[in-house]
Amino acid sequence: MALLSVDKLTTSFYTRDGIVRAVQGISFTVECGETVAIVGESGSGKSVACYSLLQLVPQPPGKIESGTVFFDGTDLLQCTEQEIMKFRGNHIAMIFQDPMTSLNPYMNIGEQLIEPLTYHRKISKADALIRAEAALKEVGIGEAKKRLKQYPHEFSGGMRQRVMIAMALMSEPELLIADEPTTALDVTIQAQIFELIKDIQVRRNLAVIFITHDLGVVAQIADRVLVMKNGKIVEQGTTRDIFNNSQHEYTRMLLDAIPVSAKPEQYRYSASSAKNVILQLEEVNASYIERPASLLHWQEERFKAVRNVSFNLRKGEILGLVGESGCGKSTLAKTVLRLVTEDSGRIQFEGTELTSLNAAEIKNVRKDLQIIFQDPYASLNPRMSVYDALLEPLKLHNIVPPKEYERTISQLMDEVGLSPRDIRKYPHEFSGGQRQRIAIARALAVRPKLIIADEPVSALDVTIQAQVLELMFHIVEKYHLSMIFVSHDLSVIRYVCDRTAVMFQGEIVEFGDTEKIFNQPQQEYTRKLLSAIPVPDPGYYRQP
Amino acid sequence: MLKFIGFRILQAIPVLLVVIFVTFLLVRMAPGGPFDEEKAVSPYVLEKLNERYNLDAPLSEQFFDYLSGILQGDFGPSFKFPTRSVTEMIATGLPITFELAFYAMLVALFIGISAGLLAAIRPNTAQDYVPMSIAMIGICMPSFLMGPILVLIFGIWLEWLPVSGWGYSPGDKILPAITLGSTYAAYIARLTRGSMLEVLSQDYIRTARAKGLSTQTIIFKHALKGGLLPVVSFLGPAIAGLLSGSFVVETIFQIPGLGRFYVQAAFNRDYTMIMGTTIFFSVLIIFFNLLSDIIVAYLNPRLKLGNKK
Repeated sequence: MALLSVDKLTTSFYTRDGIVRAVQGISFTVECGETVAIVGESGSGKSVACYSLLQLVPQPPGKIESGTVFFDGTDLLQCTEQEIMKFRGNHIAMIFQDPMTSLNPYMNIGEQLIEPLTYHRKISKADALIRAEAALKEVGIGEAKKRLKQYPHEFSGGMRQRVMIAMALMSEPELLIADEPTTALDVTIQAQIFELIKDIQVRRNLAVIFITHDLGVVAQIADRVLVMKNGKIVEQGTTRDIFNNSQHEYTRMLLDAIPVSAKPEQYRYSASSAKNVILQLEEVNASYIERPASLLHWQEERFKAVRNVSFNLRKGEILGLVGESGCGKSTLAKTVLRLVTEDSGRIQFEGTELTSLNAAEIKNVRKDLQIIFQDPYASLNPRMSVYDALLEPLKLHNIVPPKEYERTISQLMDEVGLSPRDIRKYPHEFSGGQRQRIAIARALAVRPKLIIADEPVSALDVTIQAQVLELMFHIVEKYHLSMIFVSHDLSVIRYVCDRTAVMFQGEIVEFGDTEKIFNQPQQEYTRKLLSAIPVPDPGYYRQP
Repeated sequence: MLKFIGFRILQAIPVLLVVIFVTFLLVRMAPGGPFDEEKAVSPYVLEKLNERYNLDAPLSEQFFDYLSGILQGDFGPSFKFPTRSVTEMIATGLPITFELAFYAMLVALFIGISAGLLAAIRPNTAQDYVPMSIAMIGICMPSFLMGPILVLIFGIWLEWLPVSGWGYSPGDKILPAITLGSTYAAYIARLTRGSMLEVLSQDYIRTARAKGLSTQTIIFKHALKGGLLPVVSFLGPAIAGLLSGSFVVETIFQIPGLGRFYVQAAFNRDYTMIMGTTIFFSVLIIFFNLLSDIIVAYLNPRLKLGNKK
């Protein structure tokens, strides 16, 4: 008999706007020692489904309507709160997406690690701490004894996720539910965490449910895959079958949307287009204040985020800036935009030396330099309609006469694939992908020459991501724009960029044609980065 | 940490100097003087009195004399009660005011935190609405209204508790403490509710639930420490407010505390007494704010003050 067998599970949310049927009668099983991936886009119900297993859905507004969840012979949905507490963290453990917020900042690591044991087993605190120390060692955290007394803020993101895993495994559960456990982490850290989970799984014959939106991850770790859409499982099967022989149209759409290839031929930068350089950086150094000066510390402490960076950007080209978090890529982008003042170096934009401009001159140059931010939810003012959001740059830079406003804005919306009928709508009435289109329209409004896109598709689902990337190709070509594309996602970089700069600890360690970097990386760091990308092909990982 | 405390104490010095300077000027700018009586004092006597208390000297000289007195711990004689010094009068009134403020703080913390917790555990139910509505009334109702109402109900109608005095009959401290503490209880209840609700929606509470902990453990072990931080930061100003705001309650219940001296001094233009109590209260406010900052830093591991990571 299967370890976990879910039958016709249905969960709804009763909100003010009506009933949201998040999970609609899904059925699946998980065997001991097996890894089952649940994959789907945001809003597909994959997380709600897993939280429902342990009755962790907030009730109200959530309600588990019907179905059975048999775990080791017990129907978890029939359990009272008292009874289900004996399963949570004991037989079934969970790890969550964001390790930065999932640990209690007010308790030290030791106290948090021993809780699953002291609550579910008769064990003294001292013995539990000894076990906790061993658990930290098992997940590869050195100086475990000292680490037990430290607080979460003293750990990096990857380390915190290791702590979460150690905590989940303290009580030796039979089933581990991992909800996007590596989405917030860098690829090299992600690769280490997978390694760790796999290793422990084999040793303990642990069953794992892995919730993810990333098909590359699925190919790398899962035995079987459930594809969810709108609360239903549209397809399930072995990983190999899903990837090589998918039956459902939606699954194929997901697979097709992954950027696996090189940049499409028709969008590539061609030598025939004007070859002049639009932006030239020479020996740029930039830093930010880590700790401001105060009466006690006369000297402010600065962090050198960008070191001796030189590159050029050609007209009509998309240049990729790739690296892990903290490598200085965003600071570099901000330096070009004059949002951060460089410590030294020169930045020439169309022959103008940006570093010597005064405030008024910078305002003029800004018209030509636009930025698109990562989070389309946070970067649009919720109290401004699309019309107002697009009107602002038009007015500020006197792009068109006032009687042209309405027509220009309609045109812009049409350009980015939004219906001009939605001109009076507010950001919350749009989806994430549509909001990013608004952000692109806003950048386009002033007819810029250079756009800096800072992780523009990182917050989007893969199918939406593919559409937005298509739009970016389109506008770059149509308006002869140049673009600096900042991303941590190597597959996206490969798909989008003509040339790529790989950043590591503030320096550009490798720079050149994207395909050349991906096919023949010269630097050790680039090779490490590339080998950590999950490849959406199960065959890649199963070869002897 | 020691560096931080030392720094904050240094910071307090200019603040105190400004307080002294401004109070000194304001007190002397106010119409009337310490020796104005209903029956006018003869010019000769007035002149002698002014000479006696050095009030005929230029303002700047008076100010620096006063300042050097303070540095030696001498707040001068009271103008109204010439036989007693200001230091002496503060020393008599202070213990009573402190005791009152202490009881009031206990009332405020106990009622405030429990009401806030009850409300936060079941938000948007009767368990939330009832205590929070009462808290709203508590914030709106000034103590000079609250006091007489409590006196009317518990002292006169029910005859359960004495209506005035301090330490003369058992239970005469209860009504003043409740009157003084109720407004702060209401503030603390609302603060506790708000910050507990925020903490309870954090990801790490979900982690705690997934570990199989009971609701009780989650609230008291995982949520309370973070949830009470805003309350602790509020305690410093609250204690200072209780001490300096106690004069209304002291007047209602005929309590011989510092607050009453303060009000009397203001009415009487008792320059030295006004100055002395103002400076004293300023020191208390600075002290309690510092104390609550230290406690917050101690409770929050992310704020290791003065230490580099």
